[in-house]
Amino acid sequence: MEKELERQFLEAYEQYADALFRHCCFRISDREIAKDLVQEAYMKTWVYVVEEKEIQNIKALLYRILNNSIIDYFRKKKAVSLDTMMEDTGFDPAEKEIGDPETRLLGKEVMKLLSKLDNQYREIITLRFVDGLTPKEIAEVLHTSPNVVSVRLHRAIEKLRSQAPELFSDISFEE
Amino acid sequence: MKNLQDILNRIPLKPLQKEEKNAMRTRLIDFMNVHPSLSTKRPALSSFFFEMFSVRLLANALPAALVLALVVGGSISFAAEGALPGDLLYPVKVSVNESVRGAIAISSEAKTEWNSELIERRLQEAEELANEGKLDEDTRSEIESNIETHFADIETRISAEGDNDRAAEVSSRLETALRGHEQILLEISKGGGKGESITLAAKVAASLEDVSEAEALAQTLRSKAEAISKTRTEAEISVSSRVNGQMKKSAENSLRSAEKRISEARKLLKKNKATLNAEISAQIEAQMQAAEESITEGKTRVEAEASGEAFVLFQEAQRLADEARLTTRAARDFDVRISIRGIDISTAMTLDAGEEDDEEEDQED
Repeated sequence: MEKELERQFLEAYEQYADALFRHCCFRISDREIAKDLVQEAYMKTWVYVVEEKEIQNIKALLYRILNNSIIDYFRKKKAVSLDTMMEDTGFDPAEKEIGDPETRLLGKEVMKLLSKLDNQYREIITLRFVDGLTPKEIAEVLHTSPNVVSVRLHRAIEKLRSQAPELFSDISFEE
Repeated sequence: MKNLQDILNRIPLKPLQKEEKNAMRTRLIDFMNVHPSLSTKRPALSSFFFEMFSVRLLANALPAALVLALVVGGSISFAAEGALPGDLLYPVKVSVNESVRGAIAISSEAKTEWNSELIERRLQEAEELANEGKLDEDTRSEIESNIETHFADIETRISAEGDNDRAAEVSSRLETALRGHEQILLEISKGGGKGESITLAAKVAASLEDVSEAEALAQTLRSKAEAISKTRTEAEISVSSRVNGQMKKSAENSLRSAEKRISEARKLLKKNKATLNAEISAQIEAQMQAAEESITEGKTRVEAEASGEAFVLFQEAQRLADEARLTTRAARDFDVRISIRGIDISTAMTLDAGEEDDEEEDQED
């Protein structure tokens, strides 16, 4: 039985590590620390799994634990501007440019605006629009109800929009 | 109309590279091995965070020199020194403390010393576990295979160095250590140790299960001791059959070592005298005395230009001093009484130390 648990868990590593990493990068400015946090999240999740002796919805669990780690990280550290991230560690200059220049520019703009949001709003926007989690999944991650998630999401979108109405005028927030 | 999700998805953040992902996977697997799913130990939530400060994580976030300073000089590594296999801090003890000290040992000589120390450490862990009734088969085999590795390393180095003096000294110390620990394990397995205050019946039941493990390990130690005894004897013979001029130097070195060991043993005895009972104190005193007599004897041999004999006597003195130390530690840590070669207190005091000693004496020399 123990081999099975190990195997499943490592599969979850292969499957979600990249997405979790990307999620981290969206929220903090340091790529190296992002790696640490993801590593830490997996380790903590493993300990949890060992206690419970089973894996139920590992995705939500991983996100939740990662989210907590990120929150802890912010508590200890002043938030660093996203500009720094884009210039230094996060951005991949080598990566093949995706999409048209206009979209890319837009992306940078949106990132900047995102960084100005409250942690809670940034968190929920990232989970929804970067990780693509459904409101129900987000509810599991945040340990709250889908209703609360919807409300918060709505407020976050409004906040974001209000920062640059013209910019967002032709951006849809639907799937 | 553009979609926020699309826009965000297209932002080119550098993803996890293959090597990075693999490196993290390796660390994760290491971590999982320390927390196996079948472990009955349930880490408390607070110890959770302890592990989070483990070096691998620190090492990613901080410059290496800082990590070393934090951990080696800091309370985590200090706290880890007492850790046993299965404890949360045990990986810190092994992967950090021990690898740092191992790295510092550069010369072949130093490495041999360090390997001997590692054997000591593993054996102490085995004894403590056995004493608590927690020495299971897996842990025992693990400890055994570690000892094998260190042992083999020592033997290789000894033969590579080709230095008979060193070979004699190292193998002598190792032999004494192995025999001493063998005794300790046997005593513990007989239920002679200070365990937690559980009922006698429970203690017996627990010790019966471990009896096989502690005894098995003791067996291994015995055969290893015999193996190294041969090495030791050969080395001693080589050394003592040298031409007198060369011999003198060897004898002098051996004398210095012996005196050092004796003083260490005395210090240890002094430190722990209060906690030892009268018989054991007397036994250790007798061992120390025998060691000192051996030295005196050896000195007269040196004067009589019989340095070869002197060398052997100084070697003997070292062994006696080591035994005294082990006896002290066995009494202090496990409340057991060992006697490696039957150095007994005077016949005036009646004690049952006789039985094991007789067997041992037959095997010695």
